[in-house]
Amino acid sequence: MKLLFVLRQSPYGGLLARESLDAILASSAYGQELSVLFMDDGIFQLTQEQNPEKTEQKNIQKIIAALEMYDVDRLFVCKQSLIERGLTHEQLSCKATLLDQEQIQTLLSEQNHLLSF
Amino acid sequence: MNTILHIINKSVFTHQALRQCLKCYKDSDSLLFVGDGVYCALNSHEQAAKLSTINHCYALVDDIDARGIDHSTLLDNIQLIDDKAFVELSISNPLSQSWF
Repeated sequence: MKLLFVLRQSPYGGLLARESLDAILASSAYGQELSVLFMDDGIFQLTQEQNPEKTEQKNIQKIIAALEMYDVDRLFVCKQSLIERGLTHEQLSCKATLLDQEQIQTLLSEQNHLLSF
Repeated sequence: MNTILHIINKSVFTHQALRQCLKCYKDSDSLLFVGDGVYCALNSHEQAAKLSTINHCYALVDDIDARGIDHSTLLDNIQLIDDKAFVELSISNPLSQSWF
């Protein structure tokens, strides 16, 4: 089954970013075809040099680094969201494929289930 | 290719949810406004022109009426539906994506 997690929330402003990543890691145990799409403010989860210790929250960058270890390697990033936020592909903390709007529409419609975060 | 039911529950006047959804929306998909999202059905906001071209656009009538929104101020292409029709929409669209 093809599951796509659509991550649109920035990290650290609320719990959704952390919880969505926990859900992804938990889902990886079930052998489905997982993909993750970072778009809108979800892009900000991929910045490097995150240091949330003083805000007493778990480090999102570290959880994202763990995705690869759990064989969650179909990672996608919305190109337009990246440009809007002044970030470049090279600045991201993980290997992700950049997608334009049309490619995102295709990715969404190819899935069996979408999980919105 | 599966069609998607896009569900928006945030007002267009305070959130980017509608704008961001419209980037991903394609012709065969459906768009449903619930909760505060019904404010997106008004014909007065800056996304109204773009929204008026969408074929399968719906709003929950109970949420419109709860907020005292005059039906004559809504975009013509928005179909007001009840919960039963909401269920039917989620059956007829294999996928759903919530925008919040």
